[in-house]
Amino acid sequence: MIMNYNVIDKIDVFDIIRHIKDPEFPKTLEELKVVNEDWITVIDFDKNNNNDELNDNGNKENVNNGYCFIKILFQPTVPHCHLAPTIALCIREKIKEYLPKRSKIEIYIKPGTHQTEDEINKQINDKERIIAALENPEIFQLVKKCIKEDDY
Amino acid sequence: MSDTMKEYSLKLIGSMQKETPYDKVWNLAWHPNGEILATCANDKYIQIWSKDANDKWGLVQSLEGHEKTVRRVAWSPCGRFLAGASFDASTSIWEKSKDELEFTHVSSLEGHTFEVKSVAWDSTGTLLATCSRDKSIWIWQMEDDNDFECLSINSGHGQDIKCVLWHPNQELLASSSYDDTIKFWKDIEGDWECINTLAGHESSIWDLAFNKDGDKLVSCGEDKMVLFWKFDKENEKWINIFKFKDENSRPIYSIDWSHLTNRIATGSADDSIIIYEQESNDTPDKYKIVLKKQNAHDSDVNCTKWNPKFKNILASCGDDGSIKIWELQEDSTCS
Repeated sequence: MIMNYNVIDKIDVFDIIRHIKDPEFPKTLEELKVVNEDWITVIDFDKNNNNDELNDNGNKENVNNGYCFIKILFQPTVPHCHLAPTIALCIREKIKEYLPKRSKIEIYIKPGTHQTEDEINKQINDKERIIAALENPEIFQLVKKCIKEDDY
Repeated sequence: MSDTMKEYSLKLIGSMQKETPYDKVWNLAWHPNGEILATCANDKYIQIWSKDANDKWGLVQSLEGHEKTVRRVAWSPCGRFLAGASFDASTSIWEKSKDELEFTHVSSLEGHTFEVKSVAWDSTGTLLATCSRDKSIWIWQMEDDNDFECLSINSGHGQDIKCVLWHPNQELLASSSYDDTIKFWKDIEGDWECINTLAGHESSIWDLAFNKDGDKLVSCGEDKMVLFWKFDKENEKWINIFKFKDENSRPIYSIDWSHLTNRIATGSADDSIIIYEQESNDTPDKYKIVLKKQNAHDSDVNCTKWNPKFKNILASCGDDGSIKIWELQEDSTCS
């Protein structure tokens, strides 16, 4: 997959994550309706000027240059899906691997689609938990398998 | 109101880069002499940095042994020992040789069942606290032969414990957790007990810092808040006295309170460093922002630490694989 965009939008992000394979079923997240283009928000801060010095005076302006902020909602196949955290890891890792730009990613369960939504949302956005999960060889292998691009 | 407006800037005076770009440098600690830095990262190394003859910061030694991310490092108060807390569930202890800047592994503290997230020495250098995703805090005592004996295993937090920190001059331990609370622990007739639980944060609390006297504490977290706490002597309880909310657009991972200047520095996942100080001499319980440094790193700022010997010198590290040394400069100008 080769990408060379100036500005990242939600279609780019969706193209990266749609073919992720479900950890359980032999289908993609798109086929299982776990992910949807309309549940992705992207703000690309590259349009802002890189002007550090003006912002050293304690002003509360936000100049986040050089990265894009990505927010993704996903809908687990069943409301008690125990692999929801793994799906979130797959989405995060695939974007990190394939997006040709630094990104800050927030991933949440689509409201009302999981029994322990708040718990999972906290877990899948906790930086230590993410790293620790990826250092678990079993989870790492599973994530790698799910995000592998073998259809092209 | 004073007519003199102080203007501040954070000037970059030193920079070190890990060999692999975008290695996450999680934490750093100044040696008590203020001239050596220890860092730890997701490459499993603890690294020692210092200035060379030309005043340029460089790598001195890489300490190898952990099997997973090293999350935090801490120097003993005398500077002879260095501890590293790792996601491999162990804590390593390293000893500095007397005359040279060289470290050898002397001990490994095993016992936690999941990732160790934080390690801290008490002010006397005899007690060590570690905490983990296993929801427990272990208190260890250092014996004469570099052996560590576990004195107590404390449970009380409902979730991962993110940070442990000893009071600057009392045998009192503070801990912060994924369960959104801060707890204080004390040895009461031989048993370590939780003596106070602070609620106020709305999500995980990533880091804690005491002021010099230890009558105030600051905390920061996933909820983008910085909370100030004060010890209420009358009621023997810690109370929330001040709060900053949403000054950062993403979680705040680190906070440090300078015992030299009384200023506070935070590092955030929005890549910025913010410096706070007491609002004025007459308002001991109010604080203000002195400076906001956007894009301090090219990615999340994981740690910010004031130099313990040299005023206004700050070190930071982040997910961009870099370690930076800053000087907070004050220029007084009349308005």
